[in-house]
Amino acid sequence: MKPRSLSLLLGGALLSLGLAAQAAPTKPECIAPANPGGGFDLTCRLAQEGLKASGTLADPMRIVYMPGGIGAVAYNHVIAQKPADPNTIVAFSGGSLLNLAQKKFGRYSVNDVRWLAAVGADFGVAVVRDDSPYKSLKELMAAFKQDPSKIVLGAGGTVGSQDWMKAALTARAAGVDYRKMRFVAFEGGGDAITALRGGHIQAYMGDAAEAFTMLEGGAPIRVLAVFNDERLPGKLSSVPTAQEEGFDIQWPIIRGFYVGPKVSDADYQWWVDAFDKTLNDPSYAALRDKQGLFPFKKTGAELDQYVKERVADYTKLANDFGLIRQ
Amino acid sequence: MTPPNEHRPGSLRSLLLWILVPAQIAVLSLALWLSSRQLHQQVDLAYDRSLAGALRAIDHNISTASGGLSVELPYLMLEFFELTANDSVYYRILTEDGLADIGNQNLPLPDTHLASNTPVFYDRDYLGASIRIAALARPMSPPLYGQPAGRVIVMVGEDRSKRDQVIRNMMIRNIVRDLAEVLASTGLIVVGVLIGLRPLTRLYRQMKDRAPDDLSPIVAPELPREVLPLVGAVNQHVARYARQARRQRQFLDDASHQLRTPLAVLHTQLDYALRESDPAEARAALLAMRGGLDQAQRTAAQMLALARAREADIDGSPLRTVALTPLAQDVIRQLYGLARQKRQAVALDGDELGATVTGIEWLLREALVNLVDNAIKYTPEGGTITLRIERAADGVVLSVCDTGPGMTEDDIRKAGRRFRRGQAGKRAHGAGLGLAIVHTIMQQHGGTLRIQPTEPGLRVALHFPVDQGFPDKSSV
Repeated sequence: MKPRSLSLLLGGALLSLGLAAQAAPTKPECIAPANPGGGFDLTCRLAQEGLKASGTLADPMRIVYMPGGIGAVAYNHVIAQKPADPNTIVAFSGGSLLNLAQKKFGRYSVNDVRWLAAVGADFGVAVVRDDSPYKSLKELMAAFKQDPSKIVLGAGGTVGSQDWMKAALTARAAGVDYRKMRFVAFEGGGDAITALRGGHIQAYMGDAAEAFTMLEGGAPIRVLAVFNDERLPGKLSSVPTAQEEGFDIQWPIIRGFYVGPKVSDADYQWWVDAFDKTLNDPSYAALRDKQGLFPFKKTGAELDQYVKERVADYTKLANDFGLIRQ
Repeated sequence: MTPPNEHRPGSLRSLLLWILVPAQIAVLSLALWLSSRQLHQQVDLAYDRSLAGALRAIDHNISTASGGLSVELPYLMLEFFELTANDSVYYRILTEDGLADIGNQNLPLPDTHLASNTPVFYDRDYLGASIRIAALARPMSPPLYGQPAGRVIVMVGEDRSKRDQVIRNMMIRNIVRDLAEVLASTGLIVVGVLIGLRPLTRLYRQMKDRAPDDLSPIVAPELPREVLPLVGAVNQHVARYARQARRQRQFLDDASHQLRTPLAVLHTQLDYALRESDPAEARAALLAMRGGLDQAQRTAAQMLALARAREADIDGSPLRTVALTPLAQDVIRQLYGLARQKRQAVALDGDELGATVTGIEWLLREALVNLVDNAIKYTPEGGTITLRIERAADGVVLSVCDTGPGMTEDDIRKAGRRFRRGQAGKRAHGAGLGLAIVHTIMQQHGGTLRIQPTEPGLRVALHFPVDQGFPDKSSV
């Protein structure tokens, strides 16, 4: 116990030099609102390692898994149960914002939490099992066009979630009726990959980062396409873009964190400063690359504005698909 | 049988077929409907039980201990379940407020509110197929984000095609079996009816082939017992008709036989009278004609009496108790004038003057008048006629004795035949019907006519037995 409190004290002393004099959270934890193994898990791990590497937090943050509605349960939990808890940050993704836009997070809106930091960007990918007969996104869509009942798609979240949205956009681009898609919902990418490996679903519209770490871990999957305007660097560079396959779809996903609505300005600012410092740390890029994420930095008020713009955009998109119940 | 008759509503064959076959089909349909419902219920019950097992198994893999809704993927369990169900299986797990929703999207929820911890089963269309769904709601423990009333709903769906196939196969077996039963029983009934009706058809042919004047009773021992009374009634009716026809023919025979001769004689006498110029001769001829007319009149009256006596059993004259003494006195008074012309003595005596018999009075009177008239006619002038009412060993006897010439043995044997006159009557007027009438009347009263020669003369007796039973009117 002793060395730990000493280092915390040191950290606090360092921060207090140039920033508001505020003590670091005593028992910080990161809520990953899904089962282990998905994108939220990666996001929390990146924060865990980044904050440690930048020296902002002496000990690694605890990661808490709270699956349920792709963040809906965690969102409600934080707002209702611990709105003022400075120890807790919650991972979110572009998918969380899409669900928020469709009012799938219950009675709370985008204004009910304090948006903290975005730590990286991700891109949608189409994933099949490595022994799948579908070698390209084009083949998958052709098979889907021929018999929609033969292809069961897995998605983190329900109809209207970002995984569903990626598939629906692809189907729409391929001239296939997206309302005929057969969907099985999972709590995040981890479960979806498990079901894909078991052959219970034929394809999964996931994220590049989680696909990347799965491949690193030796999972028997094949990435068919990436939903970006250019190929990704690194291990996924061999994967064509959806555009190359003839589907003009881009699906960037930001990954970041929020805190409860009643967290004090001082505590909030402590977290903002902590993330600013971490994101600018020289070691951060390597950590981010390790998790398969791409550079994207926004914190505090800047992020808050960006998130609200995204939600407004998503609302429009969801309306296009008739997803929002009036 | 002509075709229209076959389609009459009264035809037994069509009646049986029209009632039995639709009734059988109606009963069959009802039975099939009932067994189909029961089959559905029983098969659903059996299959639902395994569906409920899958539901519970998934339910055990749901945890809210982390503060979130954590579900262990049920695929391994569903794979085992699919092996037994042989069909696609679907699942869906959601919080009642809809925030978390895992599994097959849009798997339909039940229409009704789910009671906690009670599985509900229902059929729905899903992805173009009919599926059976089991749904269970239960409170989450611990509850999510401080909502103590929050519940999680677990649903498992299974394609109906397998169980529907089972139901269909069993239904087809049922239908085939029931149809075979209906066909067999209908066939048996039809054959039974046809065999049962065959004696009637035979009877019909037998009657058709009969000679037009054949009125003999129908003999058909092989007829069903139910039809025999009908045949008996027909036979009785035919017999009555035959008797009546015989009597009418007899009357016609009598009339033509008996009236032909007097009419011919009258014709001759009339011709003679017309030719005769002497008024006295013509008058004598006319007088002779009057005698002939008298005789014809008497004959006609007697023939009518005989015919009436024969009809008596069917024209419904009432039976009465008839006292014999007043009857005899009446008859004597009636004929006394004739006896007086021949200076004959008429007497009435006997030891049973109070005797009565049961009968038709005017017929008995007719019989006695005939006897007394005959006695007066055949007894010479100054003779004696005696009426006696006596007791005999077995009944009552009313006899008429005269002192006339009597009858020969041969005459007595043939007495009672129509138009026959004995030796003594050759020269007298008469039709020869008298004793025939008496004979008929006595037959009808269950009695007998007995003729005995006496010294001198003849005794003609009407014998009434004590238990003078009238023969059955209809069978006389």
